[in-house]
Amino acid sequence: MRQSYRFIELTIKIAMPIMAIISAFLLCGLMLAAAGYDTLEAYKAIWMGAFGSKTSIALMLNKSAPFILLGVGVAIAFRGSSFNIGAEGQFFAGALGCALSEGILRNFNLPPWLLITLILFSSLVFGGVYGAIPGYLKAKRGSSEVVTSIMLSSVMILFVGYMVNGPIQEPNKLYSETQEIVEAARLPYIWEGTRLHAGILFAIVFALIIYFILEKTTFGYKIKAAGQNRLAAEYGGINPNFITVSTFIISGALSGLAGGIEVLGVSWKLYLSISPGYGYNAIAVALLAQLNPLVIILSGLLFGALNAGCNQMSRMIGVPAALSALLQALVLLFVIAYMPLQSKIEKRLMRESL
Amino acid sequence: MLDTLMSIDLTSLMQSTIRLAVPFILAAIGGLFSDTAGISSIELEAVILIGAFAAFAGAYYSGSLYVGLLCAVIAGILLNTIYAYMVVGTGASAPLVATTLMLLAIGLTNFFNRALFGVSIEVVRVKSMQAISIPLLHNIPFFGKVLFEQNILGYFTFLLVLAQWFFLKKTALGLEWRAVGENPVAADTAGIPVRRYRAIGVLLTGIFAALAGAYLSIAASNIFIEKMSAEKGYAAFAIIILGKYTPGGALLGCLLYGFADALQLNLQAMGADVPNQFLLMLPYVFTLIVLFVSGKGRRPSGHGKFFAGRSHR
Repeated sequence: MRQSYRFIELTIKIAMPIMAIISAFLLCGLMLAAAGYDTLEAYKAIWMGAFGSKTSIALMLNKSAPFILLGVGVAIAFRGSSFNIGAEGQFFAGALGCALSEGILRNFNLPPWLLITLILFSSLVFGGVYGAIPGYLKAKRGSSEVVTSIMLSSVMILFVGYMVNGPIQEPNKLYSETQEIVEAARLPYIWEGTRLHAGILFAIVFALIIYFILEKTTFGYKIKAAGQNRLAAEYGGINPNFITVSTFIISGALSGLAGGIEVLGVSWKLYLSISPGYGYNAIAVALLAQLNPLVIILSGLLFGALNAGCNQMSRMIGVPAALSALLQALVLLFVIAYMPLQSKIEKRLMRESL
Repeated sequence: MLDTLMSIDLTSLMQSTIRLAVPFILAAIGGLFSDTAGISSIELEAVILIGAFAAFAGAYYSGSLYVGLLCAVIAGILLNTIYAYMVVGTGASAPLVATTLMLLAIGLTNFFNRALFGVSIEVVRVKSMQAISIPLLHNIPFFGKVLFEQNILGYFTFLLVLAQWFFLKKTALGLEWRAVGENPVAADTAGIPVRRYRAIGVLLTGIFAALAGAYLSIAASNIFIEKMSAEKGYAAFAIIILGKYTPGGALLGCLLYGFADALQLNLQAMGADVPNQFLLMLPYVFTLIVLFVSGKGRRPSGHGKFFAGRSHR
C-alpha cells in the first residue's frame, strides 16, 4: 500500500510540470497564431535552434548554466521562505566584481586556474554581499523582500551602467563596455570545435553541493524547518533571522557566480546586455523543478534551450525573440495554477492510504 | 550644485511634481482597494505595464484615447481576474502570483510590441492627452497653474482620492470593507461576503492600476517603451505601507515621490554634474529608505490571511 502510494505521488510530481509545459506551449501557440505567425514553423525553428547542430547544442548548454545557478539560488532562498526576485541585480554585482578583480589581477601573470578561481571567488563575494542586503532588511525591519530585492536590482543595473560608461569603460571610450579580459582569464572550452565553456560544469557541481547541503546537513534541515514553520522552528532553537540572511547570502553568491561565469565564458567583457533577464526567469526555473536542486538542472536546461532556440528562431523566421520570455512566463503561470490541484490530489491520496 | 537648485522655477517644479505623482496616486489608491480588504496589492507593477501597453495599442488602432483607456481597463481586469482567482480563491502566495504576473506582463508586452509595432527606426506614436484648463480657477496665482491645468485623468485621480476616502471612512459599506481586512472571520460571522468583497477589491485595483499605466503611455507621453512601468508599481506598494494603509497617507507619499522625481528630472535637464545613472537611482533608493523606515507598517490585522469561505470550515 505504502509502496503504491509513493509511486503515485512521484508520478504526480513528474506529471504536473510536464502538463504545465504542454499547456504553456498550447496557449503560446494560440497567441502566435493570433499575432499572425505560423505556430508549427516557429516551434520547429525553436527546436532546431536549440538541438539542430553541434554548435546550437553548445550554445544551448552555455545559456543553461546561468539559469541553473540562479535557479538553485532562488530555490535555496525559497526553501528558507524568502523570495529572492532580485537575482538579476546580484548577477550584475557578480559580473561587476569579476570585471573589477580581472582589472586588478590581469597584470600579475598568474596561472589561468588561479586567476579564474580568484576572479570567480570575487564574483561570489560581490553577489553574496549584495544578496545580504534584502535578507538583512527582511530580518531586521520586516521589509518585504520582494520590493527591496527588485529595487536593489534596479540600483545595481544603473550602477553597472555608470561604471561601464565611466570608471571602467574600455580605453577608447567609444562603447559602453569594459575592455576585453586577458586570455588567461577566459573559461576553457570543453567540447572540441564548439564554444561550450566550463560554466555548465560549475552549474552542475553547485547544484549538487546545494542539494547535499539541503538534504544531508543540519544547516539544510534548519533551512527547511524555518521555511515550513517559522514559529515552530524558533521554538526548536533555530534562529529564523539567521536563516533568512544566510539563505539570501547563498542565493546572492550563486547569482554572482553566474554573472562572473557569463563574463569569463561568453561575453569576455562587461556590458549591460549580458543578461536577457536570467534573474527573473530563474524563479520559473526553480518552481518548475519544485525547488529540488537536482531537478533544477533539468529545468535550467529547458530554459536554456528555450532561450537559445528562440534567438535562432528570431533570426531564421523573424518571430520576435521576446517569445521566449512569454513562453517562460506561461510555464510559471501554469506551474502555480496547477499547484492547488496537485496538493488536492496528494491530500486525497494521503487520506486513502491511511 | 546649490546654485542649480536655487535657480529652479518653483511653479514649474510643482507642476511636474503633480504630473509625475498622478500615476503613483492612481496605482496606490487602486492598490488600497484590495489592501484595505486584506489582500496584498503587490501585483501593481504587472497591471501598470499591461495597462500602459493596452492603452497605447487601443489608442493607436482606434485613433481615440478613450478607447485606449477602455482597453487598459479591460486588460487590468483580465490580469487581476487571474490574481483574484489564485490569491483570493485558492490562497496561493501573493508575492508568488504577483511575480508570475509581472513576468507574464513583460513577456506579453514585449512580444506583442514587437509583433505589432516592430522595431523600426520610426517610433510609433499616438496623440497624447491634452491639458484642460478649468475656467476662472486656473487664473489663481501659483495654485491655478499647479492644480487646474491637468488632463482628464489628472482630475479623475483627485476625485478618486476623495471618493475612496469618503467610501472607506464615511459609508457603512466602507466600514464592512475594512472589517473584512481587519478580521475576515468576524466579518464572515456578521454575514459579510468576505471573498466577494476581496475579489471586487482586487478587480478595482486592476482598473485603477491599469489607468496608471495608461497615464504613462498616452497622457504623460505618446509612446510605449518596453518595461516602461520601471518599478513604479513596487514603489506604489511601498507608499501604501508608508501611508499606513490610508488614502490620505498614500496621497502624501505619492506627492513626495512626485517631488523627488521632478527634482531629479530638473537636475538632469539643467546638466547637474552628477552622472545621470545616480539621479535615475534616486527613486529606487528612496523606496528602499521608505521600506527601511516603515518596515511592515501598521497593516490591517487580517492582511494577507487567506479566508477559505464558510463551506471549507
